[in-house]
Amino acid sequence: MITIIRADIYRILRGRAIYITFALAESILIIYLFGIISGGSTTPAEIYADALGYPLESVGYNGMHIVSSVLSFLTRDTSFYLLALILLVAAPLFSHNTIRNDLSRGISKTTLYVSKLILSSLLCCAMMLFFIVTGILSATALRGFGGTPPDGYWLTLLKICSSQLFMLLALTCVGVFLVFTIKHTGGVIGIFLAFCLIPSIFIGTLSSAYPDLIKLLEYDIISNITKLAFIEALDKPDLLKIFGSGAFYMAASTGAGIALFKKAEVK
Amino acid sequence: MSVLKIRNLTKRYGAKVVIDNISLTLEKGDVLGLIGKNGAGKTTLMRLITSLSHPDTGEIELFGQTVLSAHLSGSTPLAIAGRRMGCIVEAPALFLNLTASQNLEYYRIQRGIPGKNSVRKSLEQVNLADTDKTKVKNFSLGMKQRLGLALALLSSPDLLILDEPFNGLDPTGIAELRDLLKHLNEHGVTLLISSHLLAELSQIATRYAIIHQGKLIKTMTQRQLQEEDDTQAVALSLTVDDAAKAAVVLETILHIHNYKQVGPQELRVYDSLDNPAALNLHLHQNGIRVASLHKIGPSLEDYFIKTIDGAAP
Repeated sequence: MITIIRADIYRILRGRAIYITFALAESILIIYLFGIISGGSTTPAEIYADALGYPLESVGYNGMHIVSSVLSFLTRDTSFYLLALILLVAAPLFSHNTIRNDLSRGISKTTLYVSKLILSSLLCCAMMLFFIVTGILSATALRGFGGTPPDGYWLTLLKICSSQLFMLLALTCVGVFLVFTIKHTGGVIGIFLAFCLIPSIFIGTLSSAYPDLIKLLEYDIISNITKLAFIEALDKPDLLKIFGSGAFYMAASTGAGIALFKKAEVK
Repeated sequence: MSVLKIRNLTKRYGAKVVIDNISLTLEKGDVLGLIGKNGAGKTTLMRLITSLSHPDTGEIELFGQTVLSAHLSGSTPLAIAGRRMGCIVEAPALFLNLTASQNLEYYRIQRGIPGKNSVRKSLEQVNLADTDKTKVKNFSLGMKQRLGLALALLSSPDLLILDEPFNGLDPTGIAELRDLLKHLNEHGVTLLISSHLLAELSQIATRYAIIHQGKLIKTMTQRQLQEEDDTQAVALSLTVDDAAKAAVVLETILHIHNYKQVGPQELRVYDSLDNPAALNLHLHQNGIRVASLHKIGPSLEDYFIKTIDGAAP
């Protein structure tokens, strides 16, 4: 399995798509950060400071404080980049039919699935780390790093990062599941984006007429990633629901993905 | 020693039986030509051998190890035996945005093949060593075909399974591939090749298997085919020092008009099949040097068509 992952890393680094994806994500992140640094409206950093009970004046748009803004950025937009990375890892199996080369060498379908899932997950972690590091560097370059943070600041950020990462990994599992079951890149893009966008838009629209529908968003990955940006404001039952749904998406999509892929005939 | 043994293999797609109880053995050093019309089941058989499809009944043994059967799940045996097999089934599957050497390097890493020399060696074997910076998406069909073969050769396989390997190749490419396959076979590689180019196939195959409507209807060695040729000879092939002069002798002295000059030194004579010695004598007596004289029978293509026509509809 390690050799499969190593070979895929070799392939991905030799293509342009990975660099384009990261460059695009970085440019949009910088535009976003520039907007909140120069804008006068209430920002995620301010909301975040409020939720934590920090004095508002302690929140600046410097390298240290920008992380909270970066983490709130990890919502819907991130799912697009995540999808691009998943497609980069797994789609050639079906779009270029390279799956034939792998199966005829005796690589099991489970090994193939798991190796693509692991690499997609690694890229998901790399993407999050990249956002945080480049966010800090960009804000530091514009406003300096800042002074000493309030007590528990970094620990809270770590909690937010790890919990959001958990949900992004759940989303990765769903993406890999779609690639291996739909096998058609266009179809995967359509369904994945629908999965990410439709619940919040659809339920948000209908909730004024049917207020109970809003409860369904408690199981929506994207909505939960946004909520986790303000983890300190969430109580235990909320967290249990969020992580429970994340774990369910992970287990269900991976289990079903492997089972369906094993059963499917390779074209 | 058997490299590949197929026993009672059957594959259905819904109600349609596409492989019907086929049993076949490939011995070490064989070059088995798999022949059949489009849709006869050749590719499906190759897909079963290479584990791209699962049989409904029967089993496949590679290098003495059962790798696939209707009841066997998992791919551990194939993972071991599969390392000794290289294949191109249908079109070569390649990463189009990588170069030829990057494609091979990808699979070298994936398969844990030590040393980067194997990549260079495989590319040189198929004459693609000078395509360093060209991406595969800019390759011609023939170049892709050759790269697919390089990939199949990457791990120095003992068994090569090639589905229509001559597809897309120009005449020079076909000749080079034929020579390469002969060379590999001389060095102990066993080959299973399907092709519609029967004239090409007949130059390298040592055995043939004819598939029709999912059934294996005939297997025979090249020698058996030649023996049938002798009994069903259709012409005498003559190689002489001067074909034009020999033609004059045929017409004026032997009164043979049913002949064809196929080259400056080669003739096909369709009469006097029962007395080649007399023909040789007369040519010699008239100052023609005969370098070779032999009977030629129907081509593999003729034989294939005859066999298919004789098979059940």
